[in-house]
Amino acid sequence: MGKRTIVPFGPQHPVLPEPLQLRLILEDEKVVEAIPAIGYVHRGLEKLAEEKDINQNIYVVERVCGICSFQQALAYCQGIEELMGIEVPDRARYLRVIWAELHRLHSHHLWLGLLADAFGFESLFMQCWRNRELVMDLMEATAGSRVIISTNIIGGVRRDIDADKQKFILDNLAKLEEELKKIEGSFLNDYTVKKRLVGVGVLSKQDAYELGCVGPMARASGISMDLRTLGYAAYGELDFEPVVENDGDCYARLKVRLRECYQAIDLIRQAISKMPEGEISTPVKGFPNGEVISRVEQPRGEDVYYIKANGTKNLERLRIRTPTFANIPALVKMLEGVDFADVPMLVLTIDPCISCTER
Amino acid sequence: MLQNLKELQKEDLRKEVLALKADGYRFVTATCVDLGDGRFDIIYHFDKDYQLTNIRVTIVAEEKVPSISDIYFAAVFVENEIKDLFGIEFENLLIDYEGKFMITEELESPMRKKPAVKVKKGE
Repeated sequence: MGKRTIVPFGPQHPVLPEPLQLRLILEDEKVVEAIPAIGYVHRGLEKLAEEKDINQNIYVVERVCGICSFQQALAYCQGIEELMGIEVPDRARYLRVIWAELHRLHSHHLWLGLLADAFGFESLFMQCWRNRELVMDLMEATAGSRVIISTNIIGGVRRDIDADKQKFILDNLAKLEEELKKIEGSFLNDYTVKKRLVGVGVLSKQDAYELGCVGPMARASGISMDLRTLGYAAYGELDFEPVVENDGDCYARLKVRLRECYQAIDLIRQAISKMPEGEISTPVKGFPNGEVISRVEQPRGEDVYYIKANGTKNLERLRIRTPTFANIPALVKMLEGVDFADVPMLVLTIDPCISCTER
Repeated sequence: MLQNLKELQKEDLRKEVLALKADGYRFVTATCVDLGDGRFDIIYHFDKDYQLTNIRVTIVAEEKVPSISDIYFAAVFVENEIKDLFGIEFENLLIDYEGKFMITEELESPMRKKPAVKVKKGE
């Protein structure tokens, strides 16, 4: 047995945009055990949601995470709508798909850039983030802001996307698809990139399922699980299949996210072509009562909202289980036995969102 | 209105969870709800083929809940979070952070509902 050392990885580390600590117990260069420590930026948003009223809570949940704020608001609004028996207009359901997929696109591009940066490919990182700007422009054009777009309301959405803006979206998506093809080659075929990712941090299908993995991480291990197939918003009327890879390593997780970018572009095109004319919201009266669970597929995976209401303007309890929280047990298990040098890659390929975890 | 909800005594929890695991269910998460009268609901959520199954166990504040972290490793962090935020103790927790998983020592069960303090005018 080699000499044992404990190395604190984080809370501040070049590969981590947000603070998370992993206490790594090393035997020579191998990780024997990893103990996560979170709580550096805990914000108590679940408690705040008990103080605010049901409409103000949309703004609270949007701040759970900037990168997937639309999907957070979507999960919350869908839960309240289910409790109150509200039927959302058809056009609003399609608009929700468009914004949700734009969020997936910008989240995946952000992650691709961070991955490139983590393995030291600076120009690829710049290219990914430059492409992401195309998506940010679309959000600004359609919603007025670039990250937290606040277009969801209980009963529908607050803004419409007219024909001119639809054309702008389609034009930008065509540009983005072209750019994506250029960077895809560097990610998938570059010798050095492959050397860092192929066969690193393998998570078997069985382990992924037993440890409760969600999102691209589960799909990269061969689990065909995507909550969009449940058909919420307008996903039930669109044609798509979950993106699945079987190798379960860092490279497979990269491939899943790359393919999901193309899938998101396709879903937006389908949604624009099928979107009916009509109202974008329905008037809401009264307050919700009862308890419900609402789930959506966020860029990182399954997002679970438990909502308990009591017929007043305030909620009894709002519980948010974000995908990063679900992926941490698998990260801990995956780290056991890997080389110390591979730890940053492994941590990054779960796409850790500490803001979500410590809502 | 929760789908497939089973209300159980805490003594029957582990048996039911073992049966769910044998049946191929995935552990999603657990939710703690302060009922405001010294009692707490702990609702465990499981999923199989997109179908949720929920188990509700109601306890009083001082009671210890049997941990399911040895059955589902994923439950270890959720149980530690509930312990931090609500001050609920779990028996035989696989990794026990002793109330310091998410919050610091200065805070004590911050998610518990505190009795409202009425302040008279002039005080």
